[in-house]
Formats: sequence, C-alpha cells, structure tokens
Amino acid sequence: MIETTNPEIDVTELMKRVRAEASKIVDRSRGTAAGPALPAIPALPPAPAIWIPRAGNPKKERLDELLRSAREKIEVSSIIPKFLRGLFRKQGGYNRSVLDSLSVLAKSNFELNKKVQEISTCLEQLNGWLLALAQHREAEANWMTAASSRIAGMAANEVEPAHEVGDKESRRALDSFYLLFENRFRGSFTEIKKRLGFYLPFLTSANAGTPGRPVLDLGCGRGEWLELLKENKLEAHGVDMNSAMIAQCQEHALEVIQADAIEYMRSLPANSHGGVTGFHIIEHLPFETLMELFGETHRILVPGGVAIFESPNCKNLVVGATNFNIDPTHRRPVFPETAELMLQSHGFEGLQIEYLAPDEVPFDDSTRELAILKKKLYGPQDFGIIAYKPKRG
Amino acid sequence: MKLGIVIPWFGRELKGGAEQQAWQVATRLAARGHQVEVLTTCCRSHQDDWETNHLPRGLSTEREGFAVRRFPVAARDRASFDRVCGNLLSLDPATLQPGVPPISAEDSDIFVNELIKAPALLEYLKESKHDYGSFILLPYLYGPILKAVEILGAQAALQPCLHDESYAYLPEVALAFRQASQLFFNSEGELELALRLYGPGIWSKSILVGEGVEFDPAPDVSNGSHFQDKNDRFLLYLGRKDEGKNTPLLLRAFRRFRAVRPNCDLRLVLAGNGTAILNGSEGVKDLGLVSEEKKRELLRGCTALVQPSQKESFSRVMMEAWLHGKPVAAHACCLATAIPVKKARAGWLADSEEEWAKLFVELDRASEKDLRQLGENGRNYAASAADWDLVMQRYETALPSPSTNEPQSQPVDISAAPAINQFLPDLAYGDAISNHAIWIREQLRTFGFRSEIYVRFIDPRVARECHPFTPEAVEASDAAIYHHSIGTDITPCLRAFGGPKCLIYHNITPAEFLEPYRPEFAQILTQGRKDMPLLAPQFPTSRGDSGYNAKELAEAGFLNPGVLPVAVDPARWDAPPDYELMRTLQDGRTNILYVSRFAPNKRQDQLVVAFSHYLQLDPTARLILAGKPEVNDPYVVHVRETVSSLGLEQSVVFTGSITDAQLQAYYRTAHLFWSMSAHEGFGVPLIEAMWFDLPILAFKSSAVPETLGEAALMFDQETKLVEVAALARLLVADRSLRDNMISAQRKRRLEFLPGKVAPLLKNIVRELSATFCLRRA
Repeated sequence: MIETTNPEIDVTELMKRVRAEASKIVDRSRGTAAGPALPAIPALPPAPAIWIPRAGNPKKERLDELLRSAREKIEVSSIIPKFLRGLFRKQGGYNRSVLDSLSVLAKSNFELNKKVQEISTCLEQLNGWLLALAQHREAEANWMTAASSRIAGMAANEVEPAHEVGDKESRRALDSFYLLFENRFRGSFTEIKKRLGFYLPFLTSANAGTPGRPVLDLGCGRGEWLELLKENKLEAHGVDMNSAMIAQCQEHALEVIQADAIEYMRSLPANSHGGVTGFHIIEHLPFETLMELFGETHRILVPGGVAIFESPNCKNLVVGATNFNIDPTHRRPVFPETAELMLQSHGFEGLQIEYLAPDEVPFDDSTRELAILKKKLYGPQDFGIIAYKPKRG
Repeated sequence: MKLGIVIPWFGRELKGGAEQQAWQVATRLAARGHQVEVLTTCCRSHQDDWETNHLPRGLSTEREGFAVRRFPVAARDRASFDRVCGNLLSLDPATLQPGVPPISAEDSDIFVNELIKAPALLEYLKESKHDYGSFILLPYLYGPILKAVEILGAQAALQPCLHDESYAYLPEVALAFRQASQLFFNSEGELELALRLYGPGIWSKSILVGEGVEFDPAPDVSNGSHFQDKNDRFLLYLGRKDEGKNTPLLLRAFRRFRAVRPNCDLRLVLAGNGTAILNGSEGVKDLGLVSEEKKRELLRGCTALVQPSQKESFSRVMMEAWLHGKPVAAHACCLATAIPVKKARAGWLADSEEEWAKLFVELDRASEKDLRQLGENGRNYAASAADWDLVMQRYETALPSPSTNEPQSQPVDISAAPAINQFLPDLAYGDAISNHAIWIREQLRTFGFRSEIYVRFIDPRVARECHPFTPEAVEASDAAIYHHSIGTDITPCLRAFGGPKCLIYHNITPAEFLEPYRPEFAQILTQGRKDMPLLAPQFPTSRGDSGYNAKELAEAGFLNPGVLPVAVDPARWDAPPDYELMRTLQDGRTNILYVSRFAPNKRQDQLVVAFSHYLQLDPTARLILAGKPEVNDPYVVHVRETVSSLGLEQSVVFTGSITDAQLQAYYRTAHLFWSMSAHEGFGVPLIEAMWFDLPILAFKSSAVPETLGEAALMFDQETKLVEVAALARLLVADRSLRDNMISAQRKRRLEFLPGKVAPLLKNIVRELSATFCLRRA
C-alpha cells in the first residue's frame, strides 16, 4: 500500500496511475525478458611504446678517404730490395683485395643505412596512423555507447504507433463486415455445406482425413466444409485470417487457427497432410502468391494426397463480368485451365476440372443459339479443380 | 558604522536594473538614517568605454544624503576579453550544467580579470574595509565585484541580480556566492535559480529582500486621448526589444495568433528601446521609448502585460502592471517571473511560440471579470512584495545592526569553564553520527563550556576533531555525553562515571537482519539490546535521535527519555562539488540515489531488484549506491551478485568511499532518492536529500515516517516491487507530483536546522549542569 502525509497528493488517484505504469513494466518485461544487455565494448589496451631504430652514421666520406690513402700506400716502394719485392708485391695484392672488400662492405653498409632510414620513416608514419586509428576507434566506441543508450531510450518511449492501433481496429471491423458479406451473398451455411458434399468422394478415394493424413482447409471461412468433414469423421483443421470467421468456427467446436494461409503452411512439415482444400480463395490472391500456395500445397501433401480448389467460373459471362465483382476482396478470376497448368507445373497429376452450380435458365434452350447463350450466361457458376500429388517420385 | 554599496557603475540617471536598485537602496537607506557610501568607478555607465574615466575620482555627496566614492578604471586586455565573452555568449544554453565550468580555467580567468578593472577600488577596500560595518555588492557578474567579495569576506553581502546565463556558471562566480557572508535576492525565482546553480550550501545565508517599485497612484487624467480610443484592447510589452528579451518570439507568436484570428481587435503594443522587426505584422504597433507618464497611461489602458523574457532576476514592469491591476503573461521558464505569476495567481505562463500563440487566444477570450480578478490578485501580491518600505525593512533586518559591528570584545577565557565531553566508539569522516557529535561540541563551546570528543577508533581524516579515549578523560569531565549504539569497551567506563551524564541512543539494528550474513555480529547486536536495561539506571538523562528511539529507551527502562534529533545544516554543503562528477552525471540519464552504508537492514539488494523493474520504464537510468562497502562483507557480495545476476553492471554504480564534494555532486545531479531501508533510527540522508530538492520515496519502517513528517510518500510490505518502481517513475517524470513532494519537503527540512535542535541540546545541558553545580558546591 502507498501512503502519504502530504495533503496535496491524492493517493487513490496516484495509485491508479501507479497501476497503469506497473502494467507497462509487466508488459515490457514480458517482451524483453530475454533481452540481453548489449555486450560491452572491450577496452583497447594502451598503445605499446614503439621503438623506432635510427640509422647510424655510415661516415662514408671518412671511410672513402681512409681507403684512398690506404690504396696510395699499396704500391711497393722502390727502396725495397729487389729480392724482397716479390714478397711485397704479394702482400700488396692481398692488401688490395682487402681494401676492395672493405670498399664493397662500406658501400653495402651505406646502402643498409639508407634502408634503415627509410624503414624508420615508414615506421613513424605507421605509428602515427595507428595512434590516429586508436583515437578514431575510441571515438567510435563512445559514439556507439551514446547511440545504444539513445536507442534504448527510444525503444522505451516507443508506444504502439497510432496508425497500427487504427489498423487493428479497422481490421476487426473489416473482418466482421466480411462475415456479414458472406452471410448475405455466399449462400446460407447449410446450402454451402450441402453443395460442398460433392467433393467428399475425392477425399475418400485419396484416403485423406484418415489418421496421419489430415485435411487442411485453407480460408475455412464459416467452417461449412470443416463441419461436413467432422460429421463424416474425417480428420481436418482449418486456417483463416478473419477473426470473425474464426470465432464462428470455434463456436462450432471446429479445429481452426487464425493465421495467414501461406505463412501457416510454411510452418508445416512436408508430407504431413492427406488433403489440402481451398474454396473460393485462389481468386483472392495475386499470381505470385497463388504459385507459392500451390507449391506449399504440393510440399505438405503426402504422396497420393489430394488437392481441391474451387473458384468462380469466369467462363460464365455473368459471373466473370458481373457477379465476380460482388466480393470487394476478389482480385481477378482464375481461368480454370490456367489453374490446371499452374498445378501441373508444380508436379500435380491426375488433374480434373469440375463445373458446378449451373444457374436456372429463364428461357427454353431448345435452339442451338439459345443453348450457346445458356452456356455463356447461365452455365456453371463455379469450377472445382482436383489434383493429386504423384504416389512415387 | 558606515554601510558601503559596491557597484561598477553608479549614477542618478542610469537605467540598468542593478544600477537602479543601487540608487534606490542608497537613497532609501540614507533617508532612514543610515550612513551610506557608494563605492564605484569613474566610468560613466555600462554602455560607455570601460577603460575611460569619465567622472572625477574621489568623494562626493549626493543631495539625497549619501556619499559616492569613485575610483579610476584601468587598461585591460580587450581583445582577449572579447574573444572569451564571444565564446560564452555563443554557448547553447541547453548545454550549460550547474557545477560544470562552461569554459577553460584560463578563459574563465580572462573573463573575470579583463572585464572592467578597478585596482584602486580593490586596494581601497583591502585597506579601509574595517571603517565600514558591512557592504552590499551588486551585481554578481563583474570582476571587481567578485574580487571585492573575496576581499571583504565576512562583511560582504552580495546582491547578485542573477539570471540564467552562461556567466553564472563560471567557477569564480560560484566561489563568490560561497565567500559572501550574506546573499540578498530580489525575487523568489532568483533565489531558486541560485540554489539550483550553487547548491543548498548557500541557503542559510540567503535572504529574500525583494525589490520595490515606485507606484504613482495618480488618477487617470488622460481620457485616453494619447492612445487610440478607450475600447481598444491591446497587450502591452514594456522594455528593450531584442533577442535577449525574447521579443522576436513574442512577435512570431502574435503573428501566428493573428493568422488564426485575422479579424480580432486585440493588438500588441511595444514600448521601449531597441528596434523590433515588425515585418508588417498585423495589429502590432511599436511606440519606441516612451515617457514615464505615457508608460503609466499604457499600463492603465492595456488588457494585460506580456513579459516573454527569460533573463530576469526581478521584473519591475511586471510589478508595475500588477500595481495597475493588470494581469501578466510571463515566460514559463523564467523562475523570477514564473514563480510570482503562479504564486499570485495573477496571470498566465507560456513557453514555446505555439504556447504563446495559444495564450493570446485565451487572453482574447478572457472575460472582463476574469481579467479584473487576475489583476486584483496581482495588485495584492505586488503591494506586499514590491513595497519599498517593506523591502527596506528586510534590508535593515538582514544587515548587521550597528552595535554588532563594533570590534569584537576580547575572547572570554573559558579555561576554568566546566568541561562537557562526548564519548563514542569511533569518529568517521562523513558519518552522520560523527558529524552530529562535532556539531554538539561546537554548540557546547558556544554555550561557554569546554568540550572535547573522545573515541576508541580514529579515522585519520577527522583526527583533528577528536582525542583517543582514556578512562582518565571520562573522570576529568564535569559531565559526559555518551553516544550509544552497541556496547563497546568504553561503555563500562561511562557506566562507572559518577558525574552527570547523558546517553544519546542511536539505535541498535535488530539482529535478525544480520543473521544470514554475519551471525557473529548478530550475536553482538542481540547482546547490545540485552544490555540496554542494565544501562538504564545509570543514565538518568537520556535522549533518542527520534521518538522511535526514545520509545525503545523507555521500553528498556530509561526514565523519561527525550528526543534530540540530528541537526542537518545545509551550510555543510557550502563548498564546491566535484566538477568532474557533476559533468559525468549530467549526461541526460536519470540518476536514482541511495545514500547509506551497506547493511542488510538498508536492503540495497531489494533496491537493486526494484530498480531492475524501473529500468523497463527508463532504460538508461542509473542507480547510485553511495556508501562505503566493506570489503568481503557477505552482504556486499550478495548485493553485487544481485546486480550481476540481473545483468545491471552498466546501470548500478557503487561509489565506494567518497568525499563530501563527491557526495554533493551525487546529491545535486540526482532525480530521486529511493530508500528501501527496513530499519532506521533517524535517517540523516533523508533530510539531506530534502535539502537537495530530491523527491523521496521510502519504505515505511521504524523512524522513517517520523523523520519524513508531513512530507512522506511511503510504501509498505504489501506493495509489489513493480508498483514501487512505477511510483518511482512517476516521481521522476511527473512534474506536478515532484513539485508537491518538494514543496512539502522544503517545509519539513526546516525542523532539523541547527537553530531548531540547539534549544533541545540546551535542555540537556541544563539538566546536566544542575547536577554538576551541586557537585561543585
């Protein structure tokens, strides 16, 4: 309990604010429980004192002079008796060789000294550069320390951006709207459930929905299909982004998950499902996404598993030109044969297109012209495409 | 005795705030019968060349009945000064930090020495200061004033006329504030600023004298003929028009306001020196410099006065507006104007351009009745704050009366006086009980007793303050004061002492706190408590630091134990803080401080855990645990382990053993004092924190509620640590909560001033001396 003797402070009011702040702490510590502190930047050991060798003084002139004067003294003096001259000449030759060697050495010594000089200069420059580098590094380290605390400060002050909050709000509103929309335009729950019964045999023949080979329904919506599978004792679960739909499915005790279909599929192991179904979802997706969806479907299906997708049939002109636009979230119709080719390209086989739900014809189609008109205007409103993952290979 | 007023420039006609103030004070003190002499230079005014002696040197007399003594100015290094001054002016105000020199020591030296130079004035002060009783020196900024304070020391009353500018941060200025024996302030805001810049050490010698405003209550005879028609509504700005006074901000804000309300009839009228760049601003009129009469007329006619300046130590025009019953809009960041506006409830405050623009909208909408009410509030405030008679009375009370100015009489020989000595186990540097004992000794000496401190263990840093304990020292005392916590080997001597004696109890930490860490010490504590009843009959006079301690004494059988709180004197901090620490700690991170030795009952470990929660809300904050940790103490090891297990090495600072200058730096830069201590006999750092205006968050235990008194904000065992951390965050971040806390703490801290505690000590002395007089007889 918090208490104060200060009459200016309203404890009840203060306590309210304390609780609000405390809940922030709890939230943040949940988020950053594992948030490790930034590693410390190791300190740079002080620069060692670098000894730069100084070139010695080669005393070249002095050496040259000594050598020159020595050479002058090599010649055998005329005062030496002749019989000794041979001996002295030999000595002279020896002396000359020594002098020559000395002068070669002197030259090389001079060259070496010059090299030492150059190396010293180079070392000095390098040393200067290293010191500058160390300073630079220290400045960088300081900068990073300052930056990290500022970043941490910003992170702490970060509140949920207003537009994100708005996004969530409007997302929820949209979700509810879509449920309303489905109820109004898609057809009643029972009606749809009845219509979907058409696909049950495909599952049965592929052994989908049996233990170890569950069916995944993408974009499960209100859950008509899932309920139908459940009634038929087939193992199945669904995924949908729409929170309102998910809530409705959960009311019916269906196994569903709120997620993006592709992301969810990515998280599933390969060869894990007997069937993957998707009713009226492919027309909501851009081409690239759809390709990925078919790819993921292929990956998660067991060999011999079945994929079933249903979509509006745009070969029916009324559907393609008019009704398709009822749903504001539709992107573009998927042409049946295109879907077929896409699935084939992912390695599906045994493809089969079924045209469903023809409309009532308001006129007699006895003539050929009327029959064409009937097909174009009152033909099947949907098509289903059934494909299998090859059993081998 | 003569009163000297020292000011660089002086004259009847000078317009500057300090110069006017000096003229008024000299005139009025002379009129009240004081012998006043103004000591100034031969330089004519601030605006003239500072090396030229325009006026004759020597003594002259003004017809108002006071003397003026002028001294020549000398040549100075103008180039260097201009360079340094330029540097100072170009500093970003946001980078100025209290206690941190803004420029190098060499430059600072140039600034102080190469401003106006008056060596002859200083020489005269050195030689003749004793011919004067005391001196008032103003304003703070100039070299001769700073140096004169140093020369005059105990005779110097500095009237700084301070405002928040880079010069105020120079160490030489801080030094002058410490050297002066008194500080006279013109406004509460100015005092507040000084405390912020130089710390609470100057508090005891700070006096709010205020500043008067001459008000001519002549009736309005102008019929508004000089200025537009009577129904015209206008806001008035009076004063110099330049960047320093913030007039460009005012104009920009007014333009914004007009952009929103183009048809509004509320206008802005400027009057004063300088040029305002109006840029064709709609509804703004610049009258230039106006006569006094015209000024009064404008004040009578305006809707409100606007005072956007941030650099005021006292705003005369604000008081004048109030005396005319007009409300004032002032800058929220200028303490000298904002505090009176808030306090008087006589206007509005605004900060940014946007806020000022909003304020104009509010002003435009305000009803006649509201404006009148605000103006009336202002009139009441100004009538007391700016009344010259009241101001002069405050000067007279503050200045030493002539009788005390006589040369000090010969010191009394007290070698024959009775000796009241104090005995305690140890005296340590910076330790609260030790400081308390030293204070008691000084008091006893001023009461006329001989008094020494005898201790068993001496810290070399305070060796000069005490003597080694001997049983003979006890016997040689006429009376003894024994500071008791746990018993030591000096206790038996004190028990055996037959003379009058008083036991002061500083409490014994309950043993259970120590058991997990130092069981052997826990046993000593247990024994200490067991021994208490044995001491009771031996000490007929006894005191606890707090009612809490006194209660324990009573429970142990002591007869009528009283309370002698620890005196906490802010003057202790009248020394420079550690500059380097001041710089390091003002790096934008929040500093949370706890000051105490490390002990399990102080619960530094819990504080660290609670602080780890706090970090979620303020990730760059640091926790400073100021106190000397004993090496290898198992509890200290535990606290350090807690820190590393939470990964808080970068956020928790262990100061180790520190000096007073360092402790001052920690206090001055902290944002919150946070105590989790579960057992306190008194809690001196709580009162110290109050002096540094740190909001205090404390665990409710033992003597803590009593010490915090009416200023307590506490939590108990039931409070979750996250909630405590959340509360800590609010105390750091919420301006109004902080202000509430601090204003209560400012009242509470006064209860422990030496002046409040001294009479209680006198009571003890009375009880003791009654006995030894008997003995002597």
